[in-house]
Order: sequence, then structure tokens, then C-alpha cells
Amino acid sequence: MPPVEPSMDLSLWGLFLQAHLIVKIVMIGLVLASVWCWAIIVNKYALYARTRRNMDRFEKVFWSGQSLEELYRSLAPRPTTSMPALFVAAMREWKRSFEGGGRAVASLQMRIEKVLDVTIQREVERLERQLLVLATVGSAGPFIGLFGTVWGIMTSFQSIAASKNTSLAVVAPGIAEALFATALGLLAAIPATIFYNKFSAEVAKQATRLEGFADEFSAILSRQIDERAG
Amino acid sequence: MVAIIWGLFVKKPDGGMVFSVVAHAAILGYAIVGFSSAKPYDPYQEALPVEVLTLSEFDQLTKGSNQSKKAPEAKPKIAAEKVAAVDAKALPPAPVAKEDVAAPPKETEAPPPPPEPKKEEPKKAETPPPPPPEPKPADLPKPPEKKPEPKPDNSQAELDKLIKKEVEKKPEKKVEKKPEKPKPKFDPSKIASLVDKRDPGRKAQEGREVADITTAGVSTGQATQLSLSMQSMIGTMIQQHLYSCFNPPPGTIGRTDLIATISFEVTEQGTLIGTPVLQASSGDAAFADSAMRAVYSCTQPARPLKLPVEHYDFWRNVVLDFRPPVG
Repeated sequence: MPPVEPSMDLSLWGLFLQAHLIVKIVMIGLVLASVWCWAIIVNKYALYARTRRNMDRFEKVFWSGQSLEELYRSLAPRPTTSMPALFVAAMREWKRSFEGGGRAVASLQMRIEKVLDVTIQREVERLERQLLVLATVGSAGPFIGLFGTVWGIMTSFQSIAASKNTSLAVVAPGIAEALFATALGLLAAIPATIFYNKFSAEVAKQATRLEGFADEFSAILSRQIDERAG
Repeated sequence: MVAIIWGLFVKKPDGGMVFSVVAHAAILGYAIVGFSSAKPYDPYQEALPVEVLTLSEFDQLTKGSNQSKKAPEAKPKIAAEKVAAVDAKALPPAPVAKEDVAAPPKETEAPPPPPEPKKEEPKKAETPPPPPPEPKPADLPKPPEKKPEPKPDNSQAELDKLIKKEVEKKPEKKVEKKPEKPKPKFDPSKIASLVDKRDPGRKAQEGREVADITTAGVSTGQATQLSLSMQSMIGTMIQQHLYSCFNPPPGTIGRTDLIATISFEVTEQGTLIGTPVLQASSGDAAFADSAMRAVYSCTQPARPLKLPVEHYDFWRNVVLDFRPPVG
């Protein structure tokens, strides 16, 4: 550990360069975490906006009285997400059941519901993916920063002991560089926490919406099944 | 850490990652540049040297010093007014009374040593502008607005003014009354002799008022600076002594609208010099007269104004407000 010189470079870069190796690693990790968090935040924000628009559009078409067959034919060729994915999965199961001459109708209702559940799960998982990173950074970021700070303060106390000098000039630079680690931790954690809360609420809202649609759609299909059976 | 690096670099970068990296680079770059020069914290910049004195020590600190400032504002204004007035009025007749008019310029020299001027005065009358620094007495006097201090010259100048403008003199308080004896003899052509005849005990008029202190110091090395406690003590002593002779007219007791401001000058023994001047009055002549009588009777040799002689400079000129006693 280098002794603390009285004339130090007190810029942020200087503080970083003078920091202990552990503190440096903590700082770099926190900066990278912040970068990653913001990447997730931007992506998720776009994803949720897209999903919401997608659902709105699909619901409009779905309730417009268009034939379900036509709708299925227009949607099936392309991979779909969210509500269209639910619709396509259920319709596919429906069609398969009637392909063989309508013999597999008995438990069709159960199968359709299973398919819808699975699709909902998959969609929600897709929406939730990486939110855990935000949660982790939000909760662990301050601790990691604090760890860097404690380490930095330990080294600065060691340098006090080594130089046998308690003047502020000896103590201050070490503490400044140590606090820098906490600052970075908070810098990464605060947006992560805020956006984690916002996004998990958003995911819950969209999952509810998907479930509502699944229920309605399975009711429609159930009616059709009974009509055909009877 | 590993997860972070994986998340950052192993995965294919997408729009959010690009945005995030760019934004962080920009912010960190700004921070490194913007915080690069932490201003040094200099806690000693504002320190003022402070010395702790006891009151008695401070009272002994009365000798003036070279570096001291000019007298406080209040007084210079009064004095400067007068000097300016003198000059303004004196200018036209200058040719006639050259010597006398010439005297004022010399007043501009700074610290007026009170005692010496006293001695000088009589002499000065005959040889009008002896004082050294201004060698051109004959010149038209340049108005010495700035330095109001010099007492003897002022008085002399005022005498001149008095002589010339006797009639309009009313507003000028202190001087008018004073030269009672010379007055009838005043004649512009005989100013020198007039000045000569002034009472040798007479003193300059432009002294400090009770409330005014200069920090400039005097050559006698005493009492340029009195502690506040000393000032208020002297003020109280003056007031007590004069009020003991003060017999306000019946019916004025308790009235708060009456006031008579009287200025007068005393010797070191506490006896009156010249004539007290009623500087301001609330208009009640009987009340003002009673105040005037109080000044006369309380500065008789039999009943002098007893004050610390070492601070004579401070209380030589007294300006006192008389008010009816309460209740």
C-alpha cells in the first residue's frame, strides 16, 4: 500500500488510480453493473411499450367480429408474442383436435386451458427476464459500494498508523477515495431499484391482462366445442 | 461480477446496451473533467487577528497612531460645512482682506494639535498665515473641504466670515455669540486687530462634541480614543452635574415635546468659556432660558464641571440636550 502523499491528485480519476486494488475492482464492477442496469432498463422499457401496443391492436382485431379462422391464418405463419401467441397456441390445439375427424373432442377443453397456461407462463417469463438483475443490483449495490468504502477506510487508517500523523491531509484523501466507492454503489442501485419496482408492476399488469384474455378465449372455445359436440 | 461481465460482453449487444454504454461514458467523462480540480479548502483565509483587552487596558490605549483613520463622519460634516461656507463667502472679498482669507488653506493640514494652536493664535493674528506648509497665503484660498479638523483656523475663518457677513450670520451657531466684546468694533479693515483682541483664554470652536470621537489621535497623546464605557461615564457625569442646576419653568415637567440643545465650551477646570449657544430648541423660550441658566450656573468657578482632566480633549466642547425631567 503506497503511503499517502500530501499532494495528491484529487480528481475523480486520480482518486480511482490511487485506490487499493480491491476498491478498484469494486468500483469497476459497480460501473459495469450500472451500465448493464441501464441497458436492461432501456430494453425493458421498449419491450413493455411494444407489448402494450401489441395487445391493444390484437384485442381490437379480435373483438371486431373477424372470423377466428381468418385471424389464425393471418397470424400463424409468423412467430408471435403475448396475446397473439396465446391465441395461436389455443387455435393450433383446437385445429389439431379436429384434424382426425373430430374424435379427440372429449378433453379438448382441458388441453386448451393447459396450452393457454403454458403460453402465459412463457410470455410472463419473457417479460420478467433480467428484472432479477435490476433487483439484485438495487439491493446489493449499496452493500458492494459500502464494502469498497470500508476497505478504503481501512487502508487509510493503516496509512495514518504508518505515518503516525493524524492530520486531515493524511486522512482526507483515503476517505474521499473510499466514499467514491459508496457513491458508485448508490449510483448503480438507485435507478435499478426504482425501475425494478416500476417494471414488476408493469409485468403484473400485463400478466393479468393475458390471463383475462385466456379466460375469455377459452370460454369462447368451450362454447364452440359444446356446439360441435351436441 | 462474472454475471455482469457475461451480461455485458458475452451477449450480443442490443440497443439498450449501446445507449447505456454511451450514456455512462458521457457522464463519467463529464465527471472526470468537471471534478478534476477540487478547489483547495483554505480555512484560514478569513481569520482576523483578535486581541483581548481588559477595559482598563483599553482605556490606556489612548495615544493616537500614524495609521489611524480620519475622524468619524458626523463631525467632519459639521466642520466641513462651515469651512466651505467660509470660503464661499470669503472668495469675493478676498482681495480686500487677503491675509485673513488666506488663512483657511492652511487648515487642510491634518492633525491639529490642540494645545499649540492655542499658543499660536494671538501671534497668528498679526502675522496672518505663518503656518508652514502652504507657502502661498496670497493666493485665493482653495476650499479645504476635506480636512475639517483644525480648530483655531476655523475659528479665525469664522471670525472673518462673521465680520463680513454679520447680518446673515444667524444660522451659524457657535461662533456668532462668542465675540461679544469685539463685535461692536468689527470693521473689515481691522480684522487683524480684532482677532488680536480676542480673549486669550478663548479656545477654538470646532472641538469634539460629546458623542464624537476621532481615531486620529492628538499630539498630546491622550484621549483620542475613549472606551465606550468611559465615554458614557463622562456623558453621564456632565448630564448629572448640569441637571443639578437645571430648574425648568413650572408646568413643563413631564412634557416630552420640549428640548433645548445647548453647546458650550469649558476649561480644564470646568468653567465656562465664552457663551453657551442654543443650537436647537423646541420653541419654548422660557424653557430654553432655564436650560441656559443651568449651563451658566453649573460652570461657575464655585461650581465647576468636574471631569477627568486627562480626557479634556473629549469633553472640552459639550453639546447637551436639556429635556424636562419626567414627572
